[in-house]
Amino acid sequence: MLSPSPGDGSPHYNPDQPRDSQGRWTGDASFSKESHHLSTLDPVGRANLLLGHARLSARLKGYIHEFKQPTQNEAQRFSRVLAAWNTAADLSDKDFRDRFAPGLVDSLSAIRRLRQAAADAAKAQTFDQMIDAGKLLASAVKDASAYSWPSVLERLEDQAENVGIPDNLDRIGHSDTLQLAGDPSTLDPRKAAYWYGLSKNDMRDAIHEIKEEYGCRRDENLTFYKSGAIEINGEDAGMIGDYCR
Amino acid sequence: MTTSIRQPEPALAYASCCMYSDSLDPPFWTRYFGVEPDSAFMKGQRFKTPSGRMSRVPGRTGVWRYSSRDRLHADDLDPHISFLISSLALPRPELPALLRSKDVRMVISCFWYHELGELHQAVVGADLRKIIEISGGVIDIDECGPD
Repeated sequence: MLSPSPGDGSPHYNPDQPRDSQGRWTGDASFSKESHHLSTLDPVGRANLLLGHARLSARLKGYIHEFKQPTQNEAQRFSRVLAAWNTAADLSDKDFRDRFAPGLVDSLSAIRRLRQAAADAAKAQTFDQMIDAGKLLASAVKDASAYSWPSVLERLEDQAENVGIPDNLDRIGHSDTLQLAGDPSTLDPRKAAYWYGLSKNDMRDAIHEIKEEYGCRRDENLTFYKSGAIEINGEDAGMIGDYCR
Repeated sequence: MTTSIRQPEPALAYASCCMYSDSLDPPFWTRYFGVEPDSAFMKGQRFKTPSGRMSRVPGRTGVWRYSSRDRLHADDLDPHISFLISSLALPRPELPALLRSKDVRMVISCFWYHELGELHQAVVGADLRKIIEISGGVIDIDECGPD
């Protein structure tokens, strides 16, 4: 049985393969880098690899007691987190921390490693690169204050969800405006919240406040612009920041 | 420098009594109900937004608004509507005629976030709904749940 150490040149391991309770790989030794090309991996596959390698690194370093293979749901969720982090490349480390990890990761050094891990995972072409990204992620999460390793990762995921990850980054990313029908029960506030760095609830709350202050009826339309400008039926209704408490 | 204080937890439910009219006289409604509103401005006036800043755009209609938001913490709507009914001494027999004569629209505007999994329109007790109706108002609920 193989018991690989990440990045030490030993037989190639893959978080997709089954492991024992100690995190040791129990997969087929015939698996090789050459037969798998990371360039063909979709974002969920990359998230799965990164999370798997990070957990393995954390297990091997003793940050966590048990290795758990990411589930498909976890990988999908984490891929959205990575997309959000990588889309926010223009933020300073401090702004990134305030937006994605408030109260979770204090040190800017850890934030830099977190972001680097996400960026590296997105462009990794080899398993070694993904392993290094996993180590980086594990070390960054380990430095998070106040919470245990699994807990902080879940909280980071929650935070990324809270800032609103659009279901379709391309469509939203290339749009200048987002039209929302008058009835918030039919809105997807995540999409608008994503632009403004608001939680979904804060976005819903802001929409309701706008409607109250302007006496909107249900058949009226709100339009939100990336700039923060709001229109009601095409007329200027101020800026989103005015409606956030 | 302005410091904004965020609530530790988002408000899951609140209700506001909103009076709307292009010819609204906000002081009249303050005297009538005997409570200090959270917002009160005439059409064309700038108003204080939830951020604490003055609005960039003048109000498009006159508004008088009294909310349970910062006065009551409850996750369901009924307590918030009961609070408004009690605070505003509803029902008032003369109020529907007053609303008509002054061309005022009275809306009990509700925000309700829940995780019941389905949206439920019948979230307000029938007795409370009746009191609002005979007062000349309508209940408008913005209901939302988890994505």
